[in-house]
Amino acid sequence: MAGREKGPLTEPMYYVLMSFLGREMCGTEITEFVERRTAGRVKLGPGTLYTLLAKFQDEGLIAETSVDGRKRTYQITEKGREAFREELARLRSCVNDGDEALG
Amino acid sequence: MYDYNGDRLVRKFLPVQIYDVHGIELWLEELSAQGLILDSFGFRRSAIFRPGSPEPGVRYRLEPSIFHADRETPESRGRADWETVDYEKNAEYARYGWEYVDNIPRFYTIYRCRDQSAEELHTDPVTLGYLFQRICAVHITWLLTLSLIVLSHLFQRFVLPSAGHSASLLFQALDMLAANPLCGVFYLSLLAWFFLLCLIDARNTRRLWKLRRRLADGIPLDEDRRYPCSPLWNAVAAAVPVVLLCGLCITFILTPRV
Repeated sequence: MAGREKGPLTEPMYYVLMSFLGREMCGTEITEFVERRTAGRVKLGPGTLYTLLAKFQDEGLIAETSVDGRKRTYQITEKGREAFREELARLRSCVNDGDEALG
Repeated sequence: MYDYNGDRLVRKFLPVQIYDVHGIELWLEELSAQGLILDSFGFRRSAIFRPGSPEPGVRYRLEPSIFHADRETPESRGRADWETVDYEKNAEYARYGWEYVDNIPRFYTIYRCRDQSAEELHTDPVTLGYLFQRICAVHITWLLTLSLIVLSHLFQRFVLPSAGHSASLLFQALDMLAANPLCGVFYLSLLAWFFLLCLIDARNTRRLWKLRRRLADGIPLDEDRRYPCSPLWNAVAAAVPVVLLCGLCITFILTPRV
C-alpha cells in the first residue's frame, strides 16, 4: 500500500478508504456506509474510525475539506486511490489463487 | 476520603502492571459490578472510586493518550490540561455512548460505556496498535532524552575536569554525604529511586512495544495473559519519594550552617 511501511489493509481500513471513493464523507456517513455495505459484518467502533481518519490524514491518503463545528469532512487523495487500487489488486490475486487451488 | 460535597470516596491501588491494559479494564469493570464507580485516576497508580449502586455490564476501555495538536478547539484553548484531553474526540465518542472518565498521565485515556448495545470502542486490533506505537515513541523519546542527560553529566565530570564537582548531581550528593551524612543519605536515596523508576519505565515501554506488536499482528487485547502487581508495591512507590523528599528537606533545613 502506498505510504504504508508493511502489511495489507485490515477490513475496517479497506472499507473506510472505500467509503471515500464516491464522494466526500464525514465520520457518521462513513460508519453508515460500512454498516450498509458489509451488512453489519465489519464493525467500526468510534475509536477505530477516529484513529483511522487521523492515520490516513497523516499518511496523505485523505485530506480534510471542511470543518463545521465538530463535523469534519474528508476526501480521498490520489495517493489514497492508488493505495486502494493496490489493495484491491492484492485481494483479487488472493481470490484467483484460491479459485485455481480449488480447480 | 471525601469529595468537596462531603460524599465518600475510596482509593484503591492498581493490582496489575500499568502495561496490562485489559487487566486494568477488567479490574475497573469488576469493581463497577461491586458498586465502586471510577471517579478519577489519582497519584501514582491509584484510582479514586465513588461508592454507589452496583453497575454490572458497564464497560471500561483504555486508549493510549495521543493528542493531535492541530485539533485544538475553542473549548480546549486556554485550559491547563489541553495537552492530554482531546475535547473533540471525547465529544465524538460520547455520541456513540463512550463517556470520558479521566487520564492515566503519560499512558491512557479512560472511557466508560453504560449502554450494553453500544459498539466496542475499538474494533480493529491493528488500528489500536497504531496508537500504542505512537505512545511507545513518546516513552522511548523520554528515555533517550534522560539517557543523554545522564551521559552528558558523566561526560562533563570525567572528560571535562574544568567543569568541576558542581556539574554532577552524583558528586554533589557525595559532597553532601561528607558534610551531613543524614542529608546525604536522603539525597543519594532519591537519586537511586529516580534511577530505579527509569529502569521500571524502560521495562514498561518494552512491554508496551511487545503489546503493540501483538496488536499489529491482529491479536486482540483480551487474548493477552494478565500481569499482576501488588497494590502494596504501588502504595509504597507512591510513598517512598514523598518520604525521601521530606527527609531531605528537613535534614537540610536542620543542618547548622558554618
